[in-house]
Amino acid sequence: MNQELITARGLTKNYGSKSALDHIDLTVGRGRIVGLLGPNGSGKTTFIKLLCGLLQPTSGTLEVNGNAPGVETKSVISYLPDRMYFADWMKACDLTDFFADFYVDFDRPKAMEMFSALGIQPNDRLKTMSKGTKEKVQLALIMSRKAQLYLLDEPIGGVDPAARDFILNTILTNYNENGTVMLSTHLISDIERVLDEAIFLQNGKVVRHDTVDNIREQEGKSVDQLFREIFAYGS
Amino acid sequence: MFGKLCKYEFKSIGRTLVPIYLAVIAISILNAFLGMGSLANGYYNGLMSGLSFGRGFLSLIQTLSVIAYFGVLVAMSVLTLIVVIQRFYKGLLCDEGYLMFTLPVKPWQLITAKGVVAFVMSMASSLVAFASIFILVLGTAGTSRVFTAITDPQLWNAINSALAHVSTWPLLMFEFIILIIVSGLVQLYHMYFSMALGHLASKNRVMMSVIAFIAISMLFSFINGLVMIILGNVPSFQSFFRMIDTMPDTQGISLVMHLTFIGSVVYNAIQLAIFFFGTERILSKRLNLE
Repeated sequence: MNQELITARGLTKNYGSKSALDHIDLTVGRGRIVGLLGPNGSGKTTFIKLLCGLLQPTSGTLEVNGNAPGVETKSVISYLPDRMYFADWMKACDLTDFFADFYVDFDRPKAMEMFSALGIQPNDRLKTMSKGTKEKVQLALIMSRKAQLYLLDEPIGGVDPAARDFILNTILTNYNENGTVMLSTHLISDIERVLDEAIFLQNGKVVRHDTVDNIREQEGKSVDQLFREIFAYGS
Repeated sequence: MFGKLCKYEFKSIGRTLVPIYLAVIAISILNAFLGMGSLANGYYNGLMSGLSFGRGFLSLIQTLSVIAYFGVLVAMSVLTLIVVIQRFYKGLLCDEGYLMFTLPVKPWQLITAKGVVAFVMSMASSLVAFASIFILVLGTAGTSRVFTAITDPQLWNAINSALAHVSTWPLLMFEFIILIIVSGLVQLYHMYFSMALGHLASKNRVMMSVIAFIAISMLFSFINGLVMIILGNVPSFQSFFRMIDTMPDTQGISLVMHLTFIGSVVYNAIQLAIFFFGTERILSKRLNLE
């Protein structure tokens, strides 16, 4: 258990002739909240999809818990994609059944608790829910797992500021203490307060990977300011 | 895990197909009493003829129920096909794929669960179609006549004596069932493999899947034709079929049937293996959900 949670060596992913990730080397430890920061098209989603096994690397290696992405890693990764991934005929209780069946680390009472906090009844159908509610349902399910690694792709992308706070609080109060949360976003000011580490991605390369404290100390500025400098147009 | 995958697959396919099964059975029963059944046995003619509007009204209902019967029967077969395709395409290659491919299961388990459940549901659709025809026959001929016909000792004697000539019939039957299963799966995995190939394209994936389907069909019918031509020109193969006449009793025909069944099973199994492993490789190594 002493090894790093995520280890990437020379990780490269090409789509045809386009390179989405270009020789990435990085390690991420346990019990951290890590921001995967970068503008659109910088490779954030590609990196997350590689981690959860939805894509295969073109070259290089990627390990989670010392295993290449596969059944073992999938059982310890809780993944929130940037879209709705449930069939909409399902009811809230179907979703908890589904998670309980496939993930041994799923805590059903916790999920039901979060549902009732959101005002969702077990028999409510996804079809009848608003887009924002669906996103919250998905997040509640994801965060009800006692996973080693939570991968959240743009969790606060499309929601209003009140929902943003709800989502961040849900993440902060529910994640497994020994687990790591990695969330991708370009809305840095909203999440800066919760981050331990930041990974800056640009054109498929890691341009900076450091703890938030170090960034503040060394640069004397916030992560948000640094982000704006790194990714300023024309640079 | 495999069982759980199948469970969810049955759930999601069943919600579309079970209602239409019930509709088929209900309309068959209606037809057995009203429509085609009563057209033949004239049960209602006497009953309704006393009323001036009765006959016209009755024939209208009969016509409507016959149309409804064929309507639901066609709907059932079309819907079965559509649902099978949709469960694979939407369930694995669209947004739901984000859920399924991040479950702690291997891709081959996902693909096998799809195929097994789709096969069982196709069989269920066929069974419902047979049941509906049986219900119609019951209604037309009357329960007692059907019952006497199928319990007629003469019929069973004839079947028994025919089977007695072919001593290996249980084995033949077994081979035939295997052949049905394997060739049914080939049809399904042909579609799955085509969708997996279409998925490799960066855009127009649906159209590329259709093109892949047609291309594979053409390729295999070309191979079939080629094999036929070659076998037709092989002398030993011709003498193989002549065994039907040259060997005593029914030995020749049963041997030829055995070999034909086994040969077809092997040929279908090869196709199935190509389609299955092709699909598995693509979805394991080249998965790229939109």
